[in-house]
Amino acid sequence: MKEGFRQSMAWLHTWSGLLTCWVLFLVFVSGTASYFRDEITLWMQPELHAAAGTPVSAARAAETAIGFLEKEAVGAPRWFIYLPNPRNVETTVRWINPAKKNANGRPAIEHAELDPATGERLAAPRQTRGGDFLYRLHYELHYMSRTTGRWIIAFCSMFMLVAIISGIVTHKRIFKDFFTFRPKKGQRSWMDAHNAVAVLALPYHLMITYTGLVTLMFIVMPFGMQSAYQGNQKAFFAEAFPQPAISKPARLSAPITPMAPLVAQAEKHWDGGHVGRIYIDNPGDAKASVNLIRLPRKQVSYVRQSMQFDGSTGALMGTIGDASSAAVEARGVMFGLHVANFANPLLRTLFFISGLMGCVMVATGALLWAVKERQAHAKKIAQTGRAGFGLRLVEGLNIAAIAGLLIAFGSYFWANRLLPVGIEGRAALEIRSFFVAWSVAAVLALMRPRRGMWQCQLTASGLLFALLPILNALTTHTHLGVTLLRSEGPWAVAGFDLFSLGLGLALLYAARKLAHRRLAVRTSPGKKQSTHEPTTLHQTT
Amino acid sequence: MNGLGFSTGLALAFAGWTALSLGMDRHYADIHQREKELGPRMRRRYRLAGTLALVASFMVNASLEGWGAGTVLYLGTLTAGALPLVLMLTYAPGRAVLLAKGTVGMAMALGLAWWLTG
Repeated sequence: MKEGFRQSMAWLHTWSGLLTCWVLFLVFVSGTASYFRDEITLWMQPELHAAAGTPVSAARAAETAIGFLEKEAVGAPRWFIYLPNPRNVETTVRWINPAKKNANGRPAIEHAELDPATGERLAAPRQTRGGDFLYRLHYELHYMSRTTGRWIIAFCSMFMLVAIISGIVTHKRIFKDFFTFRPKKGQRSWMDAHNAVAVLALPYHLMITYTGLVTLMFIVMPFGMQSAYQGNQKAFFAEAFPQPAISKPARLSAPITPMAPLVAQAEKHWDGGHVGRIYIDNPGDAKASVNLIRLPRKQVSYVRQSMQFDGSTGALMGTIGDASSAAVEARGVMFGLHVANFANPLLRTLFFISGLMGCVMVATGALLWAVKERQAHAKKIAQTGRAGFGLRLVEGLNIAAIAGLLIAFGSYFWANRLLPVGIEGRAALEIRSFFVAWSVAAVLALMRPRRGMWQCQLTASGLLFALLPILNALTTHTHLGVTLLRSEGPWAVAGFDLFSLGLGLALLYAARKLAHRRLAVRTSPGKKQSTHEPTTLHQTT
Repeated sequence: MNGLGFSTGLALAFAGWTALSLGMDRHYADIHQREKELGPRMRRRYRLAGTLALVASFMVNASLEGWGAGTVLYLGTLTAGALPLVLMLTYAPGRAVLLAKGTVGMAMALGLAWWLTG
């Protein structure tokens, strides 16, 4: 019975993993990149690199932002101020412009990036979605409605959770093989690699998959909420995530209260916590209100805290999120663990490493199926000279989803540097180059799912990443020579360049190894080669 | 958080994992590069030393970031400490012990520096 149970779990592990592995690889890669979302965005906006230097206090940045908005955003019903923080050097302001309508007929939202010290507009950075695109991609996909994307991701995450748990049950020698990796042994090596990255970062894999589902819980499991609130979702969200009430304007103009005392009061109330954002309703009106929102705390739990002030007198009107219920706190912990906003740079790096191990786990899992399948049908393949349709499809999809996706990422960053700065719809064009490059790679992979294709696409992605620091040197003034050798530029930019170089070299190394093996297979004496080449990365000598 | 404390925790995690791997037949043989038997007494000692180092690493992490975030940090440290060991056991098994001894010394020095500065 025990053997039967384990075998059925092995079956479950294989199929739940295989069916969703290509989507999951995308989720893992873009999700892992999202840990450095702000840093990626900074790299993609070289115009802002110079401003990344002297830190400015929140109070000062708030005052200068108000100064800017009072000049440029008169008559706006709402102002949004995003104060600088350790990961974001500039102040960003947004405001609703009722005089201008966007495509949906709603009032347009204008924005500007400011120097926090002076409140002057920074040289307009190039249009890009930066790391935000990768962040959205990892749970909403692209070119489809957000709800559809979230449903697909939720579905695949559920499979992922099943695959992890059945994988633990299936793994017979979880402790005996804890540190084991045996290279150059074909299927065995892939298995070892898959096990090692899965087991060593197991707490992370379980956590990230489960908490990922929790972030999507209102889509996947709305039933409790629906029955308790009798379908009134708005009432639920208002209670679970309270928002300050918006007051009607009095149509009497009044100067806005100074920000510095409010910021000081909030920082005292939050025991030294920092203000992250300031929203102002009806600015310049006697009924203005100011909402200060706390920067994510250092604790794991992510519960939004905010304070409301009267916009003309500066009197405290209320606070939100000071005391939260167990349920809110539980969700806060789950959500906080997933997005890791509480993490300092070191811990963030550990999350990133674990995320990379997750990527390797999914990729090796996908490859393992093809390796095993090819071995199981080795005789038949040798006779007919052709693998079955299913195997060829999986091998094609593997190349497309793994090597092809890396090409897509590389192209996105290249497009960021090469597209002219002023052109219309630039941000969308960057995203389009991501998908165009991916589609080309995918079509080629499905047409010729051969070992040579792996080699080609790995080389291409390797070159894209390895040459990225050089492209950066040619197109900006913050290349590695400045950021690293003279240590003047922002560290985030140097880190991006170095990681990209390392990743590119690793990919080129993998491609080179593949070429050697291919040669070895071809010239190995005494072994008659059939017309086909072995497609998988599996060692045949 | 403190870079010294973090490094102390990481060095302890690596040393702890190495001791635990020494308590396993396969890795013991790999590391000593000959068919050497591992006696039951040595096995127990390695296991105890490894467990103690991992517990010490947890204490360091918890004192850095508190019980909640400290646990998260600890799990990440464990992963980051085990990854290089797996690579070393594969490609340079002979040097794993030497490095582990070095990291124990480093953990002590870093821990002391952290205690003095903190």
